[in-house]
Amino acid sequence: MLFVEPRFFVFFAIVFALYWSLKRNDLRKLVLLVASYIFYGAWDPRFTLLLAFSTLFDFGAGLMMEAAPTQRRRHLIIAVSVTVNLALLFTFKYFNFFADSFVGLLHAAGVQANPVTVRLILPVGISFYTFQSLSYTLDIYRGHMRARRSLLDYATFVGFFPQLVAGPIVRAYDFLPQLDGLKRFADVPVRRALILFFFGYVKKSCVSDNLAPYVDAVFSHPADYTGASIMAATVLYAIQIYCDFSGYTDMAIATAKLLGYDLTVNFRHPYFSTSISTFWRRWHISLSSWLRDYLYIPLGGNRGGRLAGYRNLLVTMVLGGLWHGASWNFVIWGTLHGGALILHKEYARWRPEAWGSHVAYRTGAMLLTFWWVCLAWIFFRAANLPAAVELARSFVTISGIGSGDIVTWAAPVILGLGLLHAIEARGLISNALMSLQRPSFYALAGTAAGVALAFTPIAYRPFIYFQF
Amino acid sequence: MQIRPSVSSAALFAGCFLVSTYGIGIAGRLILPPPDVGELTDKIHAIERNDADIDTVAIGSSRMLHAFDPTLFDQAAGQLGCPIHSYNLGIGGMNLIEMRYVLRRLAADHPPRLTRALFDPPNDIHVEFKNLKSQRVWVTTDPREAPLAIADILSHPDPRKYSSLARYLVAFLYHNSALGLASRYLEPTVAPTAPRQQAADMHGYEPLDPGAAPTVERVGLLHDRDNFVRTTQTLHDQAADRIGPAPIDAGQENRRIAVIRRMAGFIRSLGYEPVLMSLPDTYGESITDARDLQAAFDRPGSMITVNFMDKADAGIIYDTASWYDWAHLTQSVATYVSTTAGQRLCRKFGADFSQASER
Repeated sequence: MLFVEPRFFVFFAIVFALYWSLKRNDLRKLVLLVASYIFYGAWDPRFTLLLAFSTLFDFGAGLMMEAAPTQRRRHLIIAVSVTVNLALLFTFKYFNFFADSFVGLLHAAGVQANPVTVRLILPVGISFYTFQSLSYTLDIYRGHMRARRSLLDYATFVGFFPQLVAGPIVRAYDFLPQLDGLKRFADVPVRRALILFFFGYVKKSCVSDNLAPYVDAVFSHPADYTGASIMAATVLYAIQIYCDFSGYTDMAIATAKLLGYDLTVNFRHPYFSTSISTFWRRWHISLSSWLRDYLYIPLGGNRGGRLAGYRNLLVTMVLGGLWHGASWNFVIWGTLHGGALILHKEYARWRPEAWGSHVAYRTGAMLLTFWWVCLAWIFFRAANLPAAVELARSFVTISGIGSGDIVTWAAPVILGLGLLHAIEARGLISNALMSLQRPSFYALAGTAAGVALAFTPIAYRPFIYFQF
Repeated sequence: MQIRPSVSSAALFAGCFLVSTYGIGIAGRLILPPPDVGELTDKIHAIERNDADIDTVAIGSSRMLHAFDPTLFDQAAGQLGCPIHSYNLGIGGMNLIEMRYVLRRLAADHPPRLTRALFDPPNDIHVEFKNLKSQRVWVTTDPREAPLAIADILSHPDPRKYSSLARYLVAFLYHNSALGLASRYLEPTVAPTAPRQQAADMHGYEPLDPGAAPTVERVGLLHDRDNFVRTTQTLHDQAADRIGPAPIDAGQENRRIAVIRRMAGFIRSLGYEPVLMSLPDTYGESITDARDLQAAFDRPGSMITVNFMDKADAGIIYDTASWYDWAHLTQSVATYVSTTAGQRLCRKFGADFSQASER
């Protein structure tokens, strides 16, 4: 069930009406929990068993850890929790990748071996809720929070449908307190939520989904296009994935807001970043901060000196790449970002402070950062490694062997979308909408929804990040 | 009574949304040029490539697709002095509105020698919800065609027509909202698919061979063979005038005739001569329907009509072995139908045919 499908609107209208009509908080949470399992089960009812297992296991682990009489017992429980969670992720997401890679390695060494692969469906959103659930037990282990006594609360936290399948990855200590106390509809920022949902819808359906066929065409037949067209298609893909993912996040945050919950911000106009470090503080913030808190810092962070810090950074980014999927393309994508972060940190050591205030420098830095991000996106998007290498070569040298051209229409589209994005980055559109009188706002919203529908392709495309 | 602000806001939103989405949707469909629906226009592209000198098209559903062999039709008519170059524009499941879309698209290409269109009385418009989003349903729900579509639906039997009408209205509301309107025009152009070599050689005709791997429909017939034998025997007796044909409600049949008359008028408005070719079917009232249409149109100054559900053909048409499945003839009977159609049309209207072909 996608946020842009009519059935989601029907589903949400029912949940919304039922939720706010109830006067008891535990009943409201029960509605949310049931709705979340219906929402998740819409993909495949079997997935709900996995979600339930993950929830029950970590809920139990949390309680046991808190009740553990010794530190050694706590160590044991957290080790089991981490192992089981990662084993789930590994089984469903990485087993075949590592089995294939291992067999490939044996073949390269002259040893004949038959690959053992398992046919498993990748449960939607497993990477998201596994990380979310894992952070709960880790935070209890570290003493950052107390275990939740209510299974209903914990299950609602893990399964909360607005963010279940593609984040933002919510921390338990941020979300669980929100489950306490009866919410009042009067406190819900309805207009702000509607604007956010509408922007998310436009990004996903009207921009991302309309760009996708063109990106697909170039990435599936790069030999048919000029180098400039391959470059344009890469930039279009950067826009597509941003609009797809941030559009989803906007709708998730808006949906949660309409139910009285606040989710963490996941994007802050990342393509306007003037360095790769800034980019990672603005792109998929909930994942990058999760990796920082639960991987980079436990690895030692930068406490062991510069080189150890760089090593930890690279390991974190490579694993971050691998989090997206079991493919060498994602490993290279992570490595490119890790390498760029290290280079930038080295560069920042000798760069004069004053440079950062010059407009020309900032513009150049922004373009260079965007260029590098686009180059890395090629490895994220390409069907396989050889294709990615070929596309990257064309992107860097702006040369291609085909004559197909998309630049003539893509250039004005890219500039137009960039301008629109820059305007909204300053909040000009949403603030103008917020300042409207109530009747004008709702009349405009209804009209705009009709217009947006015209730009919604009939065939829905799943959100790109659902596969992760 | 004071309306709560949240209710009035929701009503305002919903009202503006409906006005906006249906205003844009219907206006867009009336103003914008229709995008190419490949499933319906691939054969037109094939004509452009390979058969630019055709003078006759045969249009209809899968009954036409699998029963009309242009090569045999041309040969049979040619041997009797009617030089014809025909093409089979039959497409599985094609309804009246789709037929009009295809003919309109064909006429827009101005095939220089095209003078006539043979058409099989179309099946009812019965939208399957699994196909709701398809481009063909989008064509079927053209707001300009809505009155005719509804008239066509109501010209078919109870109670199915009420279900068909409800389905059509749902599809109409879906496809005439703004949904996807602009996106259709933003999509990359897909090159028309080249027809398979066999189809190209056969001028659009697709024979059904009982010796080949069976289709789902064929399997259905084989599983229900006893019932099928009884049905064809009854139809044979009706066609041979041994028993009376199944009755049709007079009002319904008048509506049916009116719809077919409008179709004929439409074909004439495009500059072509309509020819009604009632191809055999096995539903209960098919014989009565074909005879009623023949009685209504087959007279001088009206419309050339060929009916294969009459006495002369009963022995061949209603032989159980003639049918591939419940609605389609085998290749050998298609040969009979195509040859006989060419001969009958040339014999009955030879002079008209020759003159038309020379235009």
